[in-house]
Amino acid sequence: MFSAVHASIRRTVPAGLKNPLPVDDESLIAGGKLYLNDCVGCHGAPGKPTSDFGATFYPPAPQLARDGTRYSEAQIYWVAKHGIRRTGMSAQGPYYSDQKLWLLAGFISRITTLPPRVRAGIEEKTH
Amino acid sequence: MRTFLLGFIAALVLLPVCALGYFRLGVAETRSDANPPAWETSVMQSAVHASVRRSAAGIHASPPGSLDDAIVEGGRLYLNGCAGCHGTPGKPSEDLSSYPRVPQLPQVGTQYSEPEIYWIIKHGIRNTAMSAYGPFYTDKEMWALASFLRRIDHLPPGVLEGSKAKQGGGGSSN
Repeated sequence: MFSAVHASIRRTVPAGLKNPLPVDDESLIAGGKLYLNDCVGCHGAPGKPTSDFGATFYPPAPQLARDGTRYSEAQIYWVAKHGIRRTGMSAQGPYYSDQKLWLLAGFISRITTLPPRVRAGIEEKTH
Repeated sequence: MRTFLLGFIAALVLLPVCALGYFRLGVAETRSDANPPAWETSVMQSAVHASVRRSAAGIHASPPGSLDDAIVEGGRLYLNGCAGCHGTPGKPSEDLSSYPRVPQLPQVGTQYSEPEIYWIIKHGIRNTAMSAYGPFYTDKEMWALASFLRRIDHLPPGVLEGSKAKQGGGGSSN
């Protein structure tokens, strides 16, 4: 299933699709805050134990904070926007602007290699 | 006869090769923001229904002290933990982002029996967004949820008000 999903996403995501936003500490922190609000419940928080809730899906939700991802930024953007059928990953397109989806994609593609400044930044004032 | 056999064997080989190619080449759609075709919904739903019926066959509801209290408590748990995906009673809702679509229970109700609902809550449904809640709810809470869900599209008067009034009461009181 993994390889079928991966192949399908590789095939579907347009080759020229690129993050239009600059990726710097500020955008990574913004993306990180979005992630901590809405994705951690299933995908786990950086520096924390993996998500028990994510483990109760079939297939289980990947623990992004621990394992990172092999998908490119554009592919992450596409997955977040359109979801993955027959999994717990629903499409977030109806709820997030393109800008927010790109902020998330920038953050998630670097989630296991965040600079300390970004790690500290996303913890500040998260609601 | 020989030609028939050869054709039969060729089909046996070709079918898995085509299936493998279909998946490996990425032709299978993955996006979940599309409506599943009616035939797929009907085939999958009846397979899930048959499987749940079979799995939950030996389970019998533990009689609650008071059914009315259980329904109200189930409603409270539903509003706190389920309404986000399955819809709030009295509010029109539509799921556009999960595949298969999340049933909007206040509108469509359910054909499942209470033991079947209990089983689904506890174990989840594979290949859908319905995760297993066994690790997070007590048995008593899941039976209360089942009592509420069985009646969600024809609730006795006063239940919802009772559930809402209890809602401030916090996470998982028994």
